[in-house]
Formats: sequence, C-alpha cells, structure tokens
Amino acid sequence: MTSPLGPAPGPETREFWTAAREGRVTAQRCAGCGAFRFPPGPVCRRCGSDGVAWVGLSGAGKVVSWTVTHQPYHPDLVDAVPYTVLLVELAEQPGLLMYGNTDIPAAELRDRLPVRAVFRAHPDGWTRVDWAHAW
Amino acid sequence: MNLRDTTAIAGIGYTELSKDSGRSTRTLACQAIRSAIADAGLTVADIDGIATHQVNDCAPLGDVVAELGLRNLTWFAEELGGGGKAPAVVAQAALAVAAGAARCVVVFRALNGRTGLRMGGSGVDRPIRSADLEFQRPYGMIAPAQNYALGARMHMNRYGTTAEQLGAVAVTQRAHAVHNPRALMRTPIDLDDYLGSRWITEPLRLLDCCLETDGACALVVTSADRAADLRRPVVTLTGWAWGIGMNDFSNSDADLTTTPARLVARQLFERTGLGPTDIDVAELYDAFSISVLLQLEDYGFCQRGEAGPFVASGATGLGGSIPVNTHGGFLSEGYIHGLNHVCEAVAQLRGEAGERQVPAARVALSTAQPGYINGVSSALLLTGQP
Repeated sequence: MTSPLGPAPGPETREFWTAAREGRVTAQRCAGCGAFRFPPGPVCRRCGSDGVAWVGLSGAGKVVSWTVTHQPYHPDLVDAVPYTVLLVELAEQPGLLMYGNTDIPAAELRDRLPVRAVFRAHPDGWTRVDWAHAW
Repeated sequence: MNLRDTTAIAGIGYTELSKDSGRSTRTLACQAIRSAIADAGLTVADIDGIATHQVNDCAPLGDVVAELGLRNLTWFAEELGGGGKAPAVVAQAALAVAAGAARCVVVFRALNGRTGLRMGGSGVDRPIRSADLEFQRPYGMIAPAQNYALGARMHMNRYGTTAEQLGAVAVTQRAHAVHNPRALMRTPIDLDDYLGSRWITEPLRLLDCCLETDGACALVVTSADRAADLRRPVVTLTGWAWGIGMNDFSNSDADLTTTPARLVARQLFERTGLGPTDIDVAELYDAFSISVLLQLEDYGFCQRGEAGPFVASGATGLGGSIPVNTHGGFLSEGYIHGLNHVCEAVAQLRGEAGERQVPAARVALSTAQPGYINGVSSALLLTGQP
C-alpha cells in the first residue's frame, strides 16, 4: 500500500519521480531563456515562456539550511525520528532549491556544505533524492 | 479614495481559551460574536455583515448566521486560509463598510485547534495543499514548524542569532501572559526552562511553538462616525496591507530570513505615512518564536540581522521601546489564528489591558504571517484616541 507521505505524481511531476527511480536528478528547463525551474510549473517566472523540457542535473549542490526533526508529525514517522531535512541549492542556478533527507551527522552540517545527490529506494516503490557529502 | 481612519473596531469578544472546549466551532463562534456585539453596545439586529476565514476547521458561515438569527445581512465574506488572513479579513470588512455594502460587520475566527483539526500533521490532511508539498512531504517535511526551523537556522548561520535570543521571545511573551487572565500559560519561565524544553525540530524547541488552542474571538467593524456614538472608546482602522511571497522553493535568493511582511510593511507605511517609530505596541504573528524575529526586521523595528540582540535587550518587553505580543501571543495566550492579536491591539488602544497596558498606547500594529515562510501575509495599523 502506498504511504500517504509518498510521492503522488501528477501529470506535471511524474517525470521527476520516474527519473529518480532511474538514478537521475531532473528539473524543468525553460525553452525560452534557459532558466531551470523546480518544482515543475506551467510557465517560466523569468521570461514567461511556457516552452519547457526536462533535463538532467549534475546532482551537485550546497546546503543552505537544515532541521533535525524530533516531533513525529505523522504516524508513519514515529520510527523515523529524529531525521534530518536539508534545503539544498543546486549547482546549476542560484535559488534553485530541493529538499531531501541526509545521513550526514548534524554536527557536520554547515552553511554552504557541498553535497551530492544519492538515491534511496523506499518500500512504497518510489525513489527519493537524498544528499550525502560531496567528497 | 482615502479611507484612513474612516472605519473603526467598535467591539471585541472572546470565548474562554482552552485545550478542550467541549463545544462545536458553531457554538464557539456564536459566543464570541455575541460577546463582541454586546461589547460594542449593539444588538444582533444591528449586524448586517459577517466575515471569517477558516481552513475547513470551522462550521460553515451559513450555520453561524442561522444560529445567530442574522436576518439583516447585506454582505458576507468567507475566506479560505489560515495564518496570513486575519488582518486581511478585518480590512475587507472595513472596505465593505466604507463602500456602503454593510454598516456593522462582525469578523470572527473559531477553531478547535487542539480537539478538532490540528495544524501541521500529515500534510495529506492539510486542507490547503500547495504544489510544493509533493517535493517536501516524501522527506518528512510536512509541518510549518519545520519550514520556520529552516529560517531560524539560516538566521543563526548568517547573523549569529543564538538559542538564547530565540528563547528571549518565549520568556518575554510569557512574562506578558502572567498579566493576562485569558492566557493559557501564565507561569513565568526563564531561559533555563526554555533551553530545557524538548526539541520539536531543531533549532526550535517546544517553547518556540504556539499553543494548540480551542476557542474563538470576534470583533465588530463599523464606520468611525457610528463608533463614536457607541459605548466603547473609538479605535480606528488607519491602514491595512496585503502581500504574498513566492513559494518555499522559488524565493530566488534562497533566503528564508525575510518574509512577505517586508512587502506588507512597505505598503502599510507608504499609505499611512507612518513608520515603525510611530508604533507604540506591536502584536506580531508568532506561530513560532523565529517569526517574531523575522518580522521585527521586516517591519523595520531593528536592522536586518539584529532582531536577536534586540529582543534579548528587553526592547520588546513591557516598558521596552516596542512592546510585542502584550497578551502573550500564540506562545502563551493561545492560538486563535491571528484575530486574538487584533483584539489585543484594540484593548491596548482603549487603555483596557490592565497590568499589561502599554502606557498611552495610541498606534498599534497587528500582523499575520503564513504557515510557510513565503506565503500570504497581511497587517493592520490601528489608532486609539489621545
């Protein structure tokens, strides 16, 4: 059975989760101005074009913030706490952000820490993009 | 059209705030509304407008109207939305009065925030689902506290803000709540209590977070002229503003240390000609302690990055340069989603706040902030009589 916390891909987001299952980090790229956008959306915020393609990313990024969550906000997370959520700025573009979990100990986290995407398959059948030290 | 000070808040009302009301939101709403109408010296028959906001956690507006027997309605508004909305809904009521769509509008918010729908939670049950959530929820990123924790961490990284400075927000507001008979939490706390409280989502602790609350409050908006003939000191609506930030991903400089309050502040101060130094008391939306720090900077009460030392200096306490959340805020009074902040501002401007009264308070700011840092925000500036 699908976890209520798992991805629920829709027509505009399925591409990302399908690629993650294949070990690729992807985002939309504007056909008009070349700006990346994530999460996927209907129109480019920079130039207004609705032309778009999904492209592969390097999977490199830097930590811009993090939180270690102790409160089990959902019954499915009771055994998961404490867990760390990172906010990562991707190498491709300033302000291009992704969330993800990490096993990097909290004591090692710092602003602008280089990280790389890793892929974690979950029992629900979907693969999450997580983050590890870039080395 | 200059609407400055042409409308007023003529009455305020509350239910008891609790962790278990034992009553429906319909009943809570009616009690708070009746209390506000009585406070204004009006009767139910005088009410011709009604407005609220909710997130599928309150009885429908029609049920409340029927229960109250409001037979003379000419205007209503029922907004979907949460934290950012209370001042916006009050401002809509003021616009309705100014435009002649209604003469006396009751604005209310009722929720069983502890025993009914609890905020945060799975995100699946979240009544309003942002597109962003699909790329947060799979990582266990589902509650507003986590979003604000990221902002708090960023503020600490960038400006050196400390746990003790976050704690100063909680300690200061508790000291205010000691003087508020309505407050849920009235036992004084110190920094050791704060630092000893359990982690919720680092760097936020239990005492950084608002209180899940059952209760309701309400107020009556009418013209300033009519308010002058009613029984309470007149508190006018001097200005209002709305603002919406970008979503959690697309705030293009990856900056969670500023909020849409910056947009709201600019409009509010441009329209009214007032500024932070004109404000005597500020009721700042405080779902989390960090939200107070961010707004102190966004509204210009201190420089960017300096809110931590500013609060630790005592500036936001009673007797400080800008007393903040004189009722204790969501952290200590209770969480009625922002309308209790407006009601406290009115009480302060009437000089009816008892031991927590800010002396000679004439201008008050009451704000609302989104559950996620970059969402809907709004604010009111209110003026009392000299």
